[in-house]
Amino acid sequence: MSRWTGTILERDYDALHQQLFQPDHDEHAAFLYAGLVETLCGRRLLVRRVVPVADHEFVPSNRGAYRQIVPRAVARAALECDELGLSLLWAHSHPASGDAVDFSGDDLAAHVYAHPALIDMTHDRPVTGLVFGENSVAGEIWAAGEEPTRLTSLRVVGRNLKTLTPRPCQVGAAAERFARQVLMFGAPGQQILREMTVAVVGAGGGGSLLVEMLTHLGVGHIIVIDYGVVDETNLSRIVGAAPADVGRLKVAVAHDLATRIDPDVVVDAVYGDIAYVDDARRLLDADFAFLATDNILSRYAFNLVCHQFLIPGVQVGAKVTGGNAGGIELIHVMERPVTLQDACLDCSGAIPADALTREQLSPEARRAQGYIDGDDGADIEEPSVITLNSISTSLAATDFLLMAIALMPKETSLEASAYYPQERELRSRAAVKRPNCRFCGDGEKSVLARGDLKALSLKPGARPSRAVEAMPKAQLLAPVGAVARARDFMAEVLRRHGDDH
Amino acid sequence: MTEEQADALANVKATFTEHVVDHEEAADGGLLVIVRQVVIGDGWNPALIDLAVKLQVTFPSSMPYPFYCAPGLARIDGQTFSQVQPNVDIGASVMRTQISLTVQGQLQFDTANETLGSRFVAVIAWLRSPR
Amino acid sequence: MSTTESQSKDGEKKTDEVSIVVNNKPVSVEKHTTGAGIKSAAGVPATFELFRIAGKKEIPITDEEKVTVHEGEKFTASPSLDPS
Repeated sequence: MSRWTGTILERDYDALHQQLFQPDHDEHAAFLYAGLVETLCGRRLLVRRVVPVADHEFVPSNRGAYRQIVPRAVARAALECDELGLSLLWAHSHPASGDAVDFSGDDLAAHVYAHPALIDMTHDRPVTGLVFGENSVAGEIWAAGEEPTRLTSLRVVGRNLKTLTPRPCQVGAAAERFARQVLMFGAPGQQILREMTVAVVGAGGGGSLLVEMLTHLGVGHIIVIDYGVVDETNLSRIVGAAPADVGRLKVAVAHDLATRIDPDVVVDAVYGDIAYVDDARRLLDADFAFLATDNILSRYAFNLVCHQFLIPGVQVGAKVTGGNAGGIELIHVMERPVTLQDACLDCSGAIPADALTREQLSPEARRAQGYIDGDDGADIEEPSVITLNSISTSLAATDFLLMAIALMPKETSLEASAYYPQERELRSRAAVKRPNCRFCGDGEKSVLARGDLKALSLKPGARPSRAVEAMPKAQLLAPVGAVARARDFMAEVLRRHGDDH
Repeated sequence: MTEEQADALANVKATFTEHVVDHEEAADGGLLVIVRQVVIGDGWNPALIDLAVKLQVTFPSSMPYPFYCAPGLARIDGQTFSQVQPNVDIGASVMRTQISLTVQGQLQFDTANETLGSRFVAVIAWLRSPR
Repeated sequence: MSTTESQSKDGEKKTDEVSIVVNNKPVSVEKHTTGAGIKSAAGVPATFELFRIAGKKEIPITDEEKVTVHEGEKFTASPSLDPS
């Protein structure tokens, strides 16, 4: 049986919560329209829009239940949702429910009565009924041709990441190795990290530092993706790399680094390039993602995947620019959160169109435009220093930690951070979100939360493989860790929730 | 092709209703859009070209730039323009005339104010009155 | 708009029938029918409410209302949603 989860932006969850839990302490209702994504670990609903049901359309039921969303409101929502190509959800509240909630008999009867028609009305896309408690949610998904399935969890993503379930999850004791961290955020916080899947794109100077930190923090599952090979010039900054690693894939070095630190961590070391669809899809099971690469195309791909599949993340980088006389002009270190609700990397100017265009031109075409190239038409290498990488990655990992365990105050801005070492100054960089942005905008054409309902605008297939490496190919290219983790997760869910599934 | 490329192709077809508009999908996800038999004026040899642009898979985040036509495009009077390079190897030894034009120097493609059709129109207008 | 004259099993002509769409499924109905007749032909519960789709609007049709339908016209037969 396929596992179903959901993801909703914090701003949409807040609007939904405000609608469902009103001062009258009565039940209220709303529709949600969602994109869909299917991966090895299951299927996920990506909420794109919340549509409150007006009180005059949520009336006493004439079918023996407590309340009724009138047929006209249902028809309107189904038509609108269908036109957008999205999947329909409807939600109501049980105001007396707090940390645990479940469907009543009438609720389930409503699903039987209405969902088959709603599936027809939305061209066979899944239809979901939800019931919310103050801090809990239960859901039942009806997919064409399948038995109804319960929703495992609903993830709220924003300043703080929160997971809603039908009832509180049991918290186990944290391992002794995390004792000093547990003093900060408790065993529940440590368990949150253990149950998270975090992706790191780029296993070079920044990526290796992130893998090391995430492992030390106790993140249970790390997906690290890169197509590069360690060369001698990397030894100054790839954490975990030694002279004997020259010629090895960077992801293999990252894998070994992490598993030496924590033998229980699951690491998917993926040879790949997220500019390609198949490689980018390796990120889709991540709860959070980091980008630590040095090209614009991967920033575009990261921005696209994060927004289309509602995966929050952070982009890191450091830049040293030389002056005309050959001296250092400027050193700056950047950390850009991708919150999915604020200005994205494109709105922030981090994906310049000319640079993106140039990267994808042939060397000859680039030369014809008078761009400055190296002797063989390749891009010029830029300086890269471990201490600078450490600053950006540490800022990013700390933001991640606070968001993951819900310690980021709501009033804290998550604008990009820029550190200027020569001035010893940390500044934030404001960016304005463009309403018609194709990534983060609210327009119909934006990719936000569309999931698999829109093909990824990336290169088809996967990056061609290379015949190098001591690591067995099966371990590199197959999601061995993810499959095992998915199996273990389902076993844990069944143990916790018993007869619900 | 991507949804964005398909929309742009449809826009070019709607803009150039009196021309044949062809397309070719590239292995890297790019889409070559070709407007056939465009009159660019007797000052050029040839005066009639098939004008093309390759939309990268990242379009419209990347620009529709540069434009191309058959190799060897030249002014009758011998005048040269840096924006027009008649013999460029665009890869795999395929030779083309490369026409490197932006709109008012803007190094972006602003979908709020431009379409691919309008970009083609702007390039053709420049070719008819090169400066 | 065309209508279809179909033959019954014994070769006699039936009343004019048209093909419409109800909840995105094709349904054959008599050209001159009622709201209840459309719901019955579509096989949806009588308790559902029927709407004709006109652009982005849904126009209610009661069970007793006489309607003349046209080929390809779209309708929605919608349930209520009744939680407790």
